[in-house]
Amino acid sequence: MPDGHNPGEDAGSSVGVSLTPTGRVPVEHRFLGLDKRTFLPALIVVGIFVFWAVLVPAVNKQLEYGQTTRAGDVFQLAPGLTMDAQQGWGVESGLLVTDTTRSNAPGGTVSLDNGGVTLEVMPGQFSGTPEELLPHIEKVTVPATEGKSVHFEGDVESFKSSQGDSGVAQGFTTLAGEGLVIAMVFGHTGLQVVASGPEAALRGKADEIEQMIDSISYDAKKAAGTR
Amino acid sequence: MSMGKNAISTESLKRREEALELSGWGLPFKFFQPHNLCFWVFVVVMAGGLVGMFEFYSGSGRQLAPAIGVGTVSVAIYGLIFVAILRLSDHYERQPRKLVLTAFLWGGIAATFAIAVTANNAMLAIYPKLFGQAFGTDWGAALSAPFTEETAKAGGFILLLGLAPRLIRSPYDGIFIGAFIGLGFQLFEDVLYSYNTALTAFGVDQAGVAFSTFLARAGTGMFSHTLYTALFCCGIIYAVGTPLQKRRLGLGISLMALAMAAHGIWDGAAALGDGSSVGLLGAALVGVASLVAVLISLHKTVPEERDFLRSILQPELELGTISAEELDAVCAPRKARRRFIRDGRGRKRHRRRKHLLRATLDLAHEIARARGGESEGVAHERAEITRLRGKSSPEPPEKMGATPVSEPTSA
Repeated sequence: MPDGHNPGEDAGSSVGVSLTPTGRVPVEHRFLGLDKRTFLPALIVVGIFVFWAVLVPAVNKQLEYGQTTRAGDVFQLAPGLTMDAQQGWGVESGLLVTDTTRSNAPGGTVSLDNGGVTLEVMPGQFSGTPEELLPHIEKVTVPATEGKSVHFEGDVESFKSSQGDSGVAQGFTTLAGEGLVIAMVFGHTGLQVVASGPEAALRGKADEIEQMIDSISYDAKKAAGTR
Repeated sequence: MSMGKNAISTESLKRREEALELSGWGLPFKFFQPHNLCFWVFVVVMAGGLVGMFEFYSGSGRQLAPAIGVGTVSVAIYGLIFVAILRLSDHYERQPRKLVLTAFLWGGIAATFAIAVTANNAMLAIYPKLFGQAFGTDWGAALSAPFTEETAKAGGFILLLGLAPRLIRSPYDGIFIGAFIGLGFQLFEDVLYSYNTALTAFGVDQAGVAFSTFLARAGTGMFSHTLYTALFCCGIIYAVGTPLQKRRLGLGISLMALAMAAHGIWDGAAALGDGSSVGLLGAALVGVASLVAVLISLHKTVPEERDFLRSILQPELELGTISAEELDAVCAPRKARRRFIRDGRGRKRHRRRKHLLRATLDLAHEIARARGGESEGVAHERAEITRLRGKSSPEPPEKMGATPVSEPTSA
């Protein structure tokens, strides 16, 4: 840290390094051609960078999910919009209907993980049909999360959930595996569901994923009540 | 040394020299310093920030170009207003443009994309893992951003202290350089928010979504990163001490803590207010307290800047370039300057007196650039004052018509 008493500072310049007339750092301050007096501020910043950009993310990777879904868990996606969880999935993000927040959070994106398979259910404002929503998801949101290597393939298939809500789905492949993207619309809320993972793992969890999607239900009265 | 009829006292010249030496006024900022480790750290982290920014927008950047475009244009216009306010507030001696730009870019690129985005994502994932999803939703941002973002921005300030220790010496300098780092962070983050909001709206009505996001954030921009970082960096100056500012560790840490608290309370306003607007009111109050702290710090350090200005211009009084009244006015607080300008009748006279003060300030800047010596710039500004006085003829200074007598004190 500069203490302001840099004895050899060049009087005509603002620079932090004082050089000899031959353009060198004075020998008593020189280390590998650098001025040792500049090390402290530089190393403090290196410390800040390493702590936040390397150490903290590494700690995050080491930490296990603090919460695993249990039978009967219901996620709050948006006001009036819920999804029943299957047991044993790690919760990366997502609020249960039983969670009480001081900020009165209305729900939000649910991100689950199980054996290398991830399921992300993201609500967002949208007025239209699932068929209109799907191209937006494929063009805009999925590349942002899955990367540019995502390649959509196969036909777009329509389905109806056991709750009677319609949606459309299409498969995709990435460098890391494959996945399925689903678009549904409830009132003025669009829902993007992306399930992805290695091919075998994804097939192994297909039933559970299907049941979770099937369980998505919408209560228009509750949604209107919170507006 | 040739002696004219109005000689400058040795005492005045000595005081001018000391003022220039202490304040660092007029010194250029040199960024390329290969012997300075701060330079290399700056370059490496900035490169990391550029890569991070490219990666961040690479996924759907093209598809969300309208959102990014609207966000960028709105933010640029908004930013220009902030820049103008900050530059106008920096009345006595403006920091070199290159230094200000370097600070701005650190805030916008290095602090945001090399450190804050990565750190925030990790912290926002750690809190739910440790304390549950509800806790993470309520307090995740409030317990992450003040630490990750304030230290990321402060990192740039610490590097600039290492790169330009003679230009950043007073809490006044800390406030202005910090404000520009914060402004860079704020503006680049606003564009990032426009992108994210457009993403969560599936890329529909991108321009509208981006603009409404901008409006929401611009409305609270006053109590945002510009203010927090100005306060934080002012605290750093007090905490580390400089030749101009005696170390006051307690005050320095208190100011830094206030900046972080204001940031945290703002981010946690919803949870603090239990979902009501009470939290927002509390956050606004802490924001006002931060603003007051910045203003008090400025108020305490501005007299020093005025003293420097007086010491630099005093020889010009003896030389007859300016009058005592003009010297007092140019070194006075804003209200007194206004009184000087509005003294007497007539808009023309007021405008000329205003121009005269501005030209006197320009002369001080040129003298500082010439390190107290003579230069074409100094001669030009003296001539400007004479020209302006010619227009407003009725009030020549007592020693009008003198010729410069001092030789350059330093090159």
